[in-house]
Amino acid sequence: MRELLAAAFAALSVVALPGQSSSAPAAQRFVVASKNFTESAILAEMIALTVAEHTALQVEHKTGLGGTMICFEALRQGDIDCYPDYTGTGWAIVLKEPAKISDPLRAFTHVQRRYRELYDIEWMAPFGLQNSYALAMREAQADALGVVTISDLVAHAPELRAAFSIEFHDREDGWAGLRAHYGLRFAEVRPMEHGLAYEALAGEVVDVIDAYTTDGKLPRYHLRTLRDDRGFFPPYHAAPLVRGEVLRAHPELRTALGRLAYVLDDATMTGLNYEVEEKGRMVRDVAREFLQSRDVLGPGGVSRPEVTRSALLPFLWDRRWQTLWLIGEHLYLSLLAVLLAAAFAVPLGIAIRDRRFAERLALGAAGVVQTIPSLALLMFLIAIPGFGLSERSAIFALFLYALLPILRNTVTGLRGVDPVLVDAATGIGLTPAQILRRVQLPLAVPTIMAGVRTATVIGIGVATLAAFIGAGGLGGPIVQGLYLNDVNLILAGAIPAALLALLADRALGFVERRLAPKG
Amino acid sequence: MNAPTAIRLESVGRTFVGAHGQPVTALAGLDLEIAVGQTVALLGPSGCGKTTTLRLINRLIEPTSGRVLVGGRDAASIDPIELRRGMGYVIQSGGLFPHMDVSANIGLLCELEGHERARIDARVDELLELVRLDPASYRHRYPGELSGGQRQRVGVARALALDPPVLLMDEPFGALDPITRGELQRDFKALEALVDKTIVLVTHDLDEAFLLADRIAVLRRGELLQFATPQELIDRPADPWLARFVAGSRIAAGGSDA
Repeated sequence: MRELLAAAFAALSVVALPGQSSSAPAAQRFVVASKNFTESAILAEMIALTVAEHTALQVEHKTGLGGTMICFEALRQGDIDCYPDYTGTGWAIVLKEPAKISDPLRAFTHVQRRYRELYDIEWMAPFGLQNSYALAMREAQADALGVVTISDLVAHAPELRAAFSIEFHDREDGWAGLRAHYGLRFAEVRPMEHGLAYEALAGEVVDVIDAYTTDGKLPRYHLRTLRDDRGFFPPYHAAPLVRGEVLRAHPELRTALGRLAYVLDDATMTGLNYEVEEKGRMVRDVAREFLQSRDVLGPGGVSRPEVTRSALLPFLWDRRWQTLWLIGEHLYLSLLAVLLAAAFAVPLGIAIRDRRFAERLALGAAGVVQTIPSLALLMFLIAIPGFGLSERSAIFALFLYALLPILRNTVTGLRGVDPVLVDAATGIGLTPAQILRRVQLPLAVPTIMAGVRTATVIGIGVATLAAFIGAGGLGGPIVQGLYLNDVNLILAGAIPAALLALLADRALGFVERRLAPKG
Repeated sequence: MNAPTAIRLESVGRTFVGAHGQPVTALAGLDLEIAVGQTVALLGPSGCGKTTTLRLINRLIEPTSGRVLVGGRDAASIDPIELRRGMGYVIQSGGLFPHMDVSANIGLLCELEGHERARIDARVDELLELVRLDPASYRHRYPGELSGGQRQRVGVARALALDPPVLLMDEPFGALDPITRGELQRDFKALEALVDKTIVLVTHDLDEAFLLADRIAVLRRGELLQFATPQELIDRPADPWLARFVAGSRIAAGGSDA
């Protein structure tokens, strides 16, 4: 199905854009992923460009794949080959080392050794920058309160509101540890998508947020990062992580990635982040220009003209082929899941229709699944071997969400058939199977279809989350837009997704009416 | 009356489990013999066991004691589907399937029996004419587009589709207004196709029983009070309750049969 779709789109794009050829060399793939923030995307893009330039591998960059554990699990399971991470993250989140560490070199050698032993994952030479966590406040308010260090903040915290990114909020080396280490108590702490937290801070909705020491947004919003005077945050040196298996198969990767060793420092990184986040330049261009300036890349690659934020409609028009492709992916994910769910739930509903206990059990189980937040369900699935970061996980999650409406409506629809009609059918000599096929199912079809319709609309909505685990679809631009703080990009995914849901609702409503029994 | 027996109930009892787990006797050792070609009304107030008796005959309910003989064979030994297809079944309001048009409702059993399309169509038209509905204008109507009386006529036509020797009718005219009911009852009585059928009719309407039945079985609280011809019932009621019950009938009082 997907191959067919790909072939169709390939054919379409060849016809539509005769200038571009879609010939792919039969080289081995090298998949680089990045975490869900700009710096990770820039570093991953540098890896991708360098490997592409200096090896024969065919490189693919999955931008904004997800948080640490998603990227790490993807790497461990071989869904991706490489992503950039930070020593402090490896120390606290992945290895869960109970001890605190402040020596950067010891931290690096330790994570390198343990990753090699435990996961066969190699920490390559560091990029040179250190991007530690920091707390940030509005410069003006920090001045007024006389806050320079985190210790200074402690006394004022009970009157201040904080917003922390989800990852920081939940991490031992983030808010949980920091609170204990300094004895910090805020008036209010809420989790917030990092890209939005700056606006919230600038708009004085909150007073303190978590930030990074290389954060490109610091200058623009006139923010002050508070000095970690009591040494809580561990060292966060960035380095590429590569699967050992891939390194052994392609030793040339070592040389290639060695070119990136210590090419960056904190100030340079802040500048590059600023270029992307504030000047709206493309990650690819910023990464390429920088690498060219350090002679890691030859001048050969023609950089695309600088793209600044443009008006929405031309932006959407420019992306039309891409959007069409994403719509295809999106429909593939959601419709396949709904079809599978219908194929499972309708027979199940038929089987349990007269068994109260089985019905309560099945509807209960489907209902429980429904209450699991979509992201949590996806995270859970990707941890299961065999699922991982794949469209399989996304389809399975969507399948689970589609079960309840279809199952419930099948049972309700069959039960809603007037018992007098079933009695009449039995009395005139129909077998149970004939009653089901001739009387109960035809009369239940509109209700069952209404369930399928609900499931489809839910599915199209939830499928936008598939992008968080790299399964594609219209969630892709939404997720990237969130990380890159690009409203146009968010809308490029959100508008088609909403239209798709409306359209599906209308179309299935039409089918429902057509299938309704006459009379 | 020396005609062979079509249906025979031999000390048939039926006990249900009540709402609080206690046994409830719906029928206590009923003996009844229905001759071929006879129309027998099961008459009595609600809860007397008349519908239970009817449903025992086509095995919608199984007896807890005794046995039901159909054409001399123990009904329990006959495949229920085969048994039911040999007995037309008409219920209140017709019990028509709302998603099928008139011809599909009437022809359903013929279709399931594997008859050819042309034969089914011909049979449907024949049955529609029999129940006095114009095939051309009713064939493709849906039950929702019919009046109560028309639905009931289609219900009877459906029951006759396979030309069964036995017809079971559960309050067939119960949901109709008095005028339509009278009209339908007269038409029903005049149906030639029903002359040689054995008919068991459940009713709580004394006049209907007097009008349509050759013999009337009066039931009360799960027991057979009297099984007799209408005339016998008027002349020699089995007990004072029955005498009062019968006296309520317009026919017994010498009124018109409308």
